[in-house]
Amino acid sequence: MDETLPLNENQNNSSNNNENNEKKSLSTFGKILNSLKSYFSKPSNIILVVFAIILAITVLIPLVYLLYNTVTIHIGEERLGDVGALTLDHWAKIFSEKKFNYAVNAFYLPLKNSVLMAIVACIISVCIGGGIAWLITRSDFPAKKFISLVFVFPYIMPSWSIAMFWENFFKNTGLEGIQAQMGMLQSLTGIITPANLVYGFWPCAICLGIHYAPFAYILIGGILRNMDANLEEAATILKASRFKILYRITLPIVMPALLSTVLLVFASSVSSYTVPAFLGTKGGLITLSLKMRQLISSPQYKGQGYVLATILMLFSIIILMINQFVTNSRRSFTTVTGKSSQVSLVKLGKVGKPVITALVIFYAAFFAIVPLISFALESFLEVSGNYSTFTTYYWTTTEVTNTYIQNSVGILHNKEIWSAFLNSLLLSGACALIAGTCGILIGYGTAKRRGSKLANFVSNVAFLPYLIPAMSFATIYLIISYTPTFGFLNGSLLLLIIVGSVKFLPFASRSGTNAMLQLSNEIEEAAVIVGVPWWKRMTRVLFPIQKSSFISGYLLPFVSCMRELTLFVLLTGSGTILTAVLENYEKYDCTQISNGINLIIIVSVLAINLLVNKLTGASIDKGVGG
Amino acid sequence: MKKKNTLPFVLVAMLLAGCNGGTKPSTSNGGTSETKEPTVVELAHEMTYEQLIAKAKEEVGANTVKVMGNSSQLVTALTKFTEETGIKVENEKSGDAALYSKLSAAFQAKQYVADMVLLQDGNMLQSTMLKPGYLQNFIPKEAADTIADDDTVPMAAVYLNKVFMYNNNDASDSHSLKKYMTNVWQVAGKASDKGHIATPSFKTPSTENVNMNFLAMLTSDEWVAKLETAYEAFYGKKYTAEKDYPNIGYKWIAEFLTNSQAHSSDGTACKDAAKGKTGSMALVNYNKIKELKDTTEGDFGKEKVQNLSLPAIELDATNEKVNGFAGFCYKMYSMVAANAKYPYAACALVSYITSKAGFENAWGTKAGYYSTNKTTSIASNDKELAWWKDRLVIENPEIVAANYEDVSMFVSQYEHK
Repeated sequence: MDETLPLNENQNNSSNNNENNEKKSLSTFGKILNSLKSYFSKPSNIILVVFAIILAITVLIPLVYLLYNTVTIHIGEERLGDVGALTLDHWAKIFSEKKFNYAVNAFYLPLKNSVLMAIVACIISVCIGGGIAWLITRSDFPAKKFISLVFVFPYIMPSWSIAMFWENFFKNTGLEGIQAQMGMLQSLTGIITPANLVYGFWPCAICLGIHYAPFAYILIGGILRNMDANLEEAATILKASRFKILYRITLPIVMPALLSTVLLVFASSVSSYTVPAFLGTKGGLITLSLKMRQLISSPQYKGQGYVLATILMLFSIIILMINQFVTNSRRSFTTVTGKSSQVSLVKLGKVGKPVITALVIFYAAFFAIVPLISFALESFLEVSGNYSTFTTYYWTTTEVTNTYIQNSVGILHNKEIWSAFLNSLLLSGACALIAGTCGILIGYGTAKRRGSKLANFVSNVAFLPYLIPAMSFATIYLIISYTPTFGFLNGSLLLLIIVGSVKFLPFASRSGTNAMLQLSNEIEEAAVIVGVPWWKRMTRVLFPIQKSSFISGYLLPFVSCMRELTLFVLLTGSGTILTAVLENYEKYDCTQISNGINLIIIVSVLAINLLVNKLTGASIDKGVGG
Repeated sequence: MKKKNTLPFVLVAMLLAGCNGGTKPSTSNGGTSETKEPTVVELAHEMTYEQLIAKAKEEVGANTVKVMGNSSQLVTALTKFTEETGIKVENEKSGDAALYSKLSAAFQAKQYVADMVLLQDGNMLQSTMLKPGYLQNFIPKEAADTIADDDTVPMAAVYLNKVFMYNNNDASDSHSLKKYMTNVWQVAGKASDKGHIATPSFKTPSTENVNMNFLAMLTSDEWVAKLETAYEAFYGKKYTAEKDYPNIGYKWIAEFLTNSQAHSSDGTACKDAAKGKTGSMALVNYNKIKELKDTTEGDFGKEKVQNLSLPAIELDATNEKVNGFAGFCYKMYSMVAANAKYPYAACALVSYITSKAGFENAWGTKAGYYSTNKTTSIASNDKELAWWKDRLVIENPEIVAANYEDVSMFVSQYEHK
């Protein structure tokens, strides 16, 4: 019995211990539950968790799939082993194949061309965009409204339309072989430009520079506009020279924006496909993006194509990491504290003012307005390039204009063109709505939980689609759409909407984050104190305050979708969206109708941009600049 | 260094494993039973066109047969087919690269995507579609009398040709361009060669697979021998092997690509040649002259076809040929999908497209399109397929596949200028 007592005691103790343990585990479970409850009581946390899952599925799967394709044997590559088996041959061939100097020609030379082209494009865009941003914000330049309106046109236009204009303008009879054609410049002035200014490296770099110059204008202009002008004024009082002020004050302040511009323009230019395809190949210029597309489309080198796609993407990621590192480490250098009451404008001088004004207006008109006129004129020519053969035939005829294209009647009567136009508007509208809204939510989540791992993850992954080349992005989504799980997406408009929304999400999320970061927490806190629910805070408080920035976040995906071809062409038939119809007319050399379609795209995008701007005050520049 | 969050990658890997179910292609055409039953394609081969249509109607009912192809002309023939048979057909048109990508993605995932396909690029067809068994070859019963054997495996419906053509606009008495091109080494070689033709226009083989296939054909034994003969005729001496070139085919490719000028579209190149400088040469699709001015048809907005001469046709007047070749030929193949929903209907469509009526409804009698069916007529300004076959390099998918890797690697040296 004596012995039993301790046993009972032990039993009691152990049952007590069990109870305690249960209580403990219950309390641990309760604690976890409570902390989860409290974690998810904050809308920003719910948003971040939901987007972390969505982005893992929509962005990381394609990314991993891309990498997987670089180490897999594809059909047509059976010389390397069994289809589906793993191999490093694609990487080895691209980096080190010596036969016929293959690695040099397929990788190193295209890499050199792409990098040099992107560097020149950066220099051009920063000099032109930054220069005009300075003129508009810091000088007594007269035509500010006009320039700030038309200067962003080249960014709204598809880059290939600038390339198309470039060729139409500069081609001349001094070129060799069948390229010897009279262009606008020669027919107006008789000037014959050298061949390397019509096709090849320089035209590609210049066209890209012009296309991205508005980007520099928007980013640098944004900083200059918000910069404290007292610093410059103080320097002026201290009799510092204009150059010294620019070098010692203005440049250091705009340096983060300048670097962002350089790196973003570099990342975009290095992977640009359409401009080198249009102007480069005719001049013997092969870039990394051209080679990538060639290899992915070939029967026996798909894996190598995916390697180049990965390299292009890694290149961009490294560049953006440098950008992030530089902007983060220089944060303390940004002395922007608020606007000074009055910015004193630099006087351009009696001679300088008219000369600079004339030059800037000429530049803006030439690259923003003349292309539009040229597309319009070309669509009204009986014989392409012959400006004495005006006709309305290609707009008004009910006859078939091209025997290779079914129902290719005049543009105004062409049902295929207008239904594709409607589809493009619908697709772009849907993508803009989804990407724009997700962008605002991501912006809200990352701004509220700024610095947390989850916020960083969501913010970075949301930007990744910008860096994945459009063709490989579309190829991967095409493959996914044929898997049993996602088979319902195949051939549907929904697939195009998902792909478009994900691909153009970076613009919207960047814009949303910038807009949210500008808002003080106190505004929302005040609403929380009086018990306003989250959705009401968003729609009644936050959205109205940053309305124009948010709407701009919707505009960017819209514009990008309207002018996009590469991303959608794989996932849709040739008559579904307007850019695909344009490509078809271009393929069958119906220049007049393809110019007309180009005009419709650009004019409709500009009209929508202007309309939204008039109604809400939002514009593309606010979207990019934040 | 920030610690990386690995959870999403694990998640992605798991998801990926779930949706990557069909990378390895099926090499069988389905059915592993010991007593091999005849396939639909084999059964259909024994049927006449009428029997095939009856069977297809029964099979399809009120549903729609799906066709994928890269030819805009096909839809006209399909409309006519529906009118004649009552079988509904839907056509999806895409460019070559997109078409192969779509088909590969669908077939690898074992998904139905089309019943019949019309494809060009024999090498791509051979390596990515026929080898894995995604497409089946169907030979119509009627083909025995009308189609040459070498066009039936794989089943070719149409031939297209790319030929040398040049601008003769200013070929006045003072500087006649008659017999402008008589030897294929004129467009290769050096500027100092007598009769050298500078900057012939050619779509970069890296963006046009059929052009790469043509170059691959030139490295085969048959064309090496012909190039050697042409070389001897042009230079007056036998070709001696050079260390930079595995054979004379590679030498011609290297010199031609160095001399040539890249264009981005055959149609534009053809137009540009018609309105360009006298003597401008292009190696482009002959069918593109359809878009030029022809006195027998409406000629609105078109450059003059009379400004162009084809060395092949020009020399024929004196019973001569371009020494070497006058261009090249490739085929458009009509095939039945191995996982077709309506295989009898697909066979009926192949039979229709390769018939005289089917070809003429699709491509009419336009210059530059040639039916494999011998009973079909040709355009008034064109020559018979057999005539062209005698003068052009003809794409052979097996030879191309064997030489493609080396040639495409070799060609990459001449893309940069």
